[in-house]
Amino acid sequence: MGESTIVCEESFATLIRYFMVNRQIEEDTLTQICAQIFSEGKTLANIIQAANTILDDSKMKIQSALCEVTSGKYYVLISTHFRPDSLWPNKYTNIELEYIKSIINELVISDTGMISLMKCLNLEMKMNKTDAQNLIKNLIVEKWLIEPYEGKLALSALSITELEPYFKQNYESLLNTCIFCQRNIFFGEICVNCNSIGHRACITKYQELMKNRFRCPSCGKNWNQLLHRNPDEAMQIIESN
Amino acid sequence: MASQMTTDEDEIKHLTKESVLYFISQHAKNSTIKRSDFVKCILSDANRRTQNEVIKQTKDTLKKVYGLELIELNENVKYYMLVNDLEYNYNIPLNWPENEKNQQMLLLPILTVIFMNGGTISEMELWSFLKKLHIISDTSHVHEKFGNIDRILKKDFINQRYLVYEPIKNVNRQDNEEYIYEFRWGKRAEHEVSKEKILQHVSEIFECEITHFADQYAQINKENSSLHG
Repeated sequence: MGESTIVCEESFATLIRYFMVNRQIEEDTLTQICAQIFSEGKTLANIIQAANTILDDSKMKIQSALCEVTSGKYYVLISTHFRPDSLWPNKYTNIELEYIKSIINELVISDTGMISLMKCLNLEMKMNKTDAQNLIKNLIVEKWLIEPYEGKLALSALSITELEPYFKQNYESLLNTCIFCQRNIFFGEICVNCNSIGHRACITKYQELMKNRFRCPSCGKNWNQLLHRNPDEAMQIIESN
Repeated sequence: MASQMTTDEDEIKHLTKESVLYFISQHAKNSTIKRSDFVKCILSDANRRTQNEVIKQTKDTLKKVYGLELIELNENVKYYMLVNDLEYNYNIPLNWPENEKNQQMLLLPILTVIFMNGGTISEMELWSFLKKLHIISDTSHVHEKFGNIDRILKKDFINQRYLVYEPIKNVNRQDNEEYIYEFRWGKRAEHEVSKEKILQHVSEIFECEITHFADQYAQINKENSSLHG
């Protein structure tokens, strides 16, 4: 009995340490890792639940999240203790955090939920462009930002989940909601007729259901002609009308 | 108004939670934590007895929940360091985020050559070794994948306590230099890297038994027996 509880403890410690280094993990990858670390007979849901009990004291938890860009399902390790001034743990300097905040701000207020790398590098900042470029590269590698198209940046599942309280506090009225699930949306597909926006995952589900009768729930127009996968293209059309 | 009736135990529990969070958030940088900073930040209101109990429980929690060992270093100033306590049984990278995995690939050969060289290597000898591995060249100490080797070896690895870089008296006085610099294993390497595994790896490369390297083998046995008493 003693032996197995020790092994179990070490298994959870291994899982938690892995999450601390890779804070956003694809569901399939996580399932494989858990198969290696834990003995047979433990479902992913059980493992996550048990891990969250352990993590409760540390004010962190593992949550599932959908990526707006890939529609993939991920598990993310987030802080449950929202402190308005510290977006992320002490890994970044204050200057870097200021710059990251301004990138996030641009992403939240944009119509498309995307920002070009060029625009990022032209934002006001107290560091040189090379350092900024390296910082952005790190943010992508560490899964805080994602590249939906070359040279473009969007918020990852991890960022959206971890920063939810931050967004709620600072941007409440400015946030878009998905026309299907009514939850917050930053990056999605846009109806060029009425500007409605929807999660790619929500649209796929709705499209499968409606098939030929696929209409915008808001303006009723036939959406097969009106929907644009690339938010930039959609905005171009809207602005030219 | 907060109740004045919180018991000592409650206070210890609360401070332990805060301490664990403090160390975990510092761990992201993989560097050391000044004991005075930690005490000032978390334990300033507690008496000596409470402080000691909190540190003890923090060590326990860090080991149990995170598989991290809290080590005290005494280098003129008292430091804390978190080292990995988990067996690398799985092929899962635990210490190094994606963008620093390369540094681990750079570190292990360096630790190996220092160990096989008797525990220390002069700066010149190390550069010569790295040139043979084509990690640096005569003209450049910047590697395509690893980056600025000078900075990594003399700053990053030193701060992380993987290596020690110190001047020693130049007994040869060949270049009329009074001191030459040498690299040794740092405290973190001592705790995290298995000398036995390194020797096994080297033996495999040279296709011989690990006992072939008598000095190194003896050192491993000595360290193992002093550990297990």
